[in-house]
Amino acid sequence: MSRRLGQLGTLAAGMVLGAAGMFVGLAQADRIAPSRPDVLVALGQRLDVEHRAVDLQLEKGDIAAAIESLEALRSGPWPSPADATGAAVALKHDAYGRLVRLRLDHPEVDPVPTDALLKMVDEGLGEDEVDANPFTARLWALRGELYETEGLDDEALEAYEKALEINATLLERELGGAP
Amino acid sequence: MSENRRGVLDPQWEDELRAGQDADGGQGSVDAELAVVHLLRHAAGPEALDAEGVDAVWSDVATQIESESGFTPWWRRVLDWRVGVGVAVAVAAAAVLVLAPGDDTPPPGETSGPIASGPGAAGMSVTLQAQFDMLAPQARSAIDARVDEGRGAVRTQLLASLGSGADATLGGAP
Repeated sequence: MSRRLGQLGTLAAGMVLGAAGMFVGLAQADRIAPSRPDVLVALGQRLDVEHRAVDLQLEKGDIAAAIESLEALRSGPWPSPADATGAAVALKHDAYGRLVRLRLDHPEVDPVPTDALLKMVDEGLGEDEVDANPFTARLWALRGELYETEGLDDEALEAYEKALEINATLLERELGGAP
Repeated sequence: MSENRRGVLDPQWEDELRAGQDADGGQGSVDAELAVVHLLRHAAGPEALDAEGVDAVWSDVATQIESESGFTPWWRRVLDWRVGVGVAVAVAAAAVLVLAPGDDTPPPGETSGPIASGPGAAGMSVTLQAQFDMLAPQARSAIDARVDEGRGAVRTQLLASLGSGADATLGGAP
């Protein structure tokens, strides 16, 4: 009897561990439904509109206005991944990456020192864990570029390697046909 | 006249070609001609050839062409060690094409590649920017899909919340 109970206990423990593993896997793959889908929808729609506005400003050649719009986006608010999944983090990294890229490409417009741009990148990267995505990789690459500008080669290399690692994961996923 | 009506499928061609070769003292070769006759016979003849027969005919033709002209078909010339390298390059190129979506043009005002990095930048940032240009559109589509899923979930929640009170107000009556 006690042996049977022990077997049942082992089975139950296995089931719990398996379910936990599956949950962690789904969470890492960002396939858990958001607890607040409305937050993700609101964020997605707001960013869509803002990015289109930036597109139009850039088409008109108004770099300053585009930077201003992206700076306004940067000030948030940004929802937590708990509310809106890792997609929200990826969207944030996209906006920050676009802003930093634009500032690097047009240093003559509203000049910002390199260390301030580095802080901007770090602020964008934050502490949130996020599934591999090209927007996070771009922020790491920009970090490397900024360190390189500062002559900090070791830090630049480290950031570049991080970006390459993310992109390698993405390419493997694409070539492997994983979702 | 009767010669003209005789088709190329007539097996007598072969006998006559062989006889002609014998008359010349066995000099020369009629194998190339016979291979063509075999091929035509296969293409138009009523007799069906099995797979081995077809292979044999093609092999015969290829061998005769090679021996007569010194010409080697392209597909045999490339079947050496270089084909492995070629396939690897082709696979890499195909991967890039598959992964690169149709519209990967960076937005106006945002440059990419060497221009974006400036003349003094190292190749690493250029490479990473190129990778981003390649990967970003698909990632954006994936996020759009997640937002759409969220929109569907919100709609479902709203309908459910309306449904709970709908019994009392259905038809507009209080």
